Amino acid sequence: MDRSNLRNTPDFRSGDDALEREELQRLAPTLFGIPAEEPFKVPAHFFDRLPHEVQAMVVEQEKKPSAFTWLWRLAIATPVLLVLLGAWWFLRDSGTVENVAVVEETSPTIEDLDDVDEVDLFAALASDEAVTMNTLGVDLTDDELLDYLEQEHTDLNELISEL
Amino acid sequence: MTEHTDKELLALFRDEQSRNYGFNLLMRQHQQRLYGFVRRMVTDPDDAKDVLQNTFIKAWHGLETFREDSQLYSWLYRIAHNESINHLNKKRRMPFVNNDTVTEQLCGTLDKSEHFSGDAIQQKLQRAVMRLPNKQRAVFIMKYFEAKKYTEISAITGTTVGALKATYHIAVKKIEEWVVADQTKTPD
Repeated sequence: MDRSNLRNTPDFRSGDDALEREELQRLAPTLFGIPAEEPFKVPAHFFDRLPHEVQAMVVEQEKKPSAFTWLWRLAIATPVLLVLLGAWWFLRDSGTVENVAVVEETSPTIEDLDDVDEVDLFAALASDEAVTMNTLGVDLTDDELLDYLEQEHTDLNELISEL
Repeated sequence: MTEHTDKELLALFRDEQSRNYGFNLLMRQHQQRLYGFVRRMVTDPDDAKDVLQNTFIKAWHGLETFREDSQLYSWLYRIAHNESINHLNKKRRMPFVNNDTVTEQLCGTLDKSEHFSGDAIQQKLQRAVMRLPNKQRAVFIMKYFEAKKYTEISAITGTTVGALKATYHIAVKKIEEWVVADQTKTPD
């Protein structure tokens, strides 16, 4: 058995400062009285062999991954690729249905007035019924309406006289 | 054996031509001190060998990206510390195994003269150390047997100095209590 050099760390009592030593003696007198020894035996030639054993293991580990990971990656990638391809194929066929189904509803804005036929608008305004812009599916405040007419260079007096 | 600086060892390791030689030197320079800690942590020589092998294999893979803002020895010690704790935790997670069974199994080495040369009091001390929870045991070994400074232990374990002092204090009190109780039970 080779016991040489196992304990090459300093004796715990010689390196410690006095305070720590005193505290240990006060706190644990029995423990303090136990001589500092290295009772473990090291198997023969352990430290000569260990570096070679570790390096052999490292070489072994480095050999394995090259062949292993290549096959492993292929084994994982193939089914994943097939699933993705299938999903793409399926979605491609049913894509039109999905496009029709998505209809976004938004609140009307001043720009929506561009789509309103001016004739219908004036006709609606001229009718005797209490017509509001809501009838036309457009919800605007008076200010927004005035802004629109100004933007369209519509003479307000002319409009009123026409009505 | 000639001591090499961290810089020299790293330069050898980082050169493809001298990588194996550099790593061999690194292991020869640090293996005995690390073994001392690991052996006290796991007691069993076969377990200690496994832990130390894993420590150096991890070091091999991590050395390429090792930042030189810490000492190589502290870095290796940190790996050995983590590997020891992981090894013991793994043993305790095995089915139909409890803490006492693992402790007894590891302490089995202490009864064999080919592995342990200590007298009765050394055996009692080691048995008491093995009863400590893993992290507490690591702190106790580093402080009591290896006389490391709290700042150094803090860098290895990632625990604050205050917490380490408290841990060591508790561990010392437990060990004292167990050793005294053991002596009373079977007087020499």
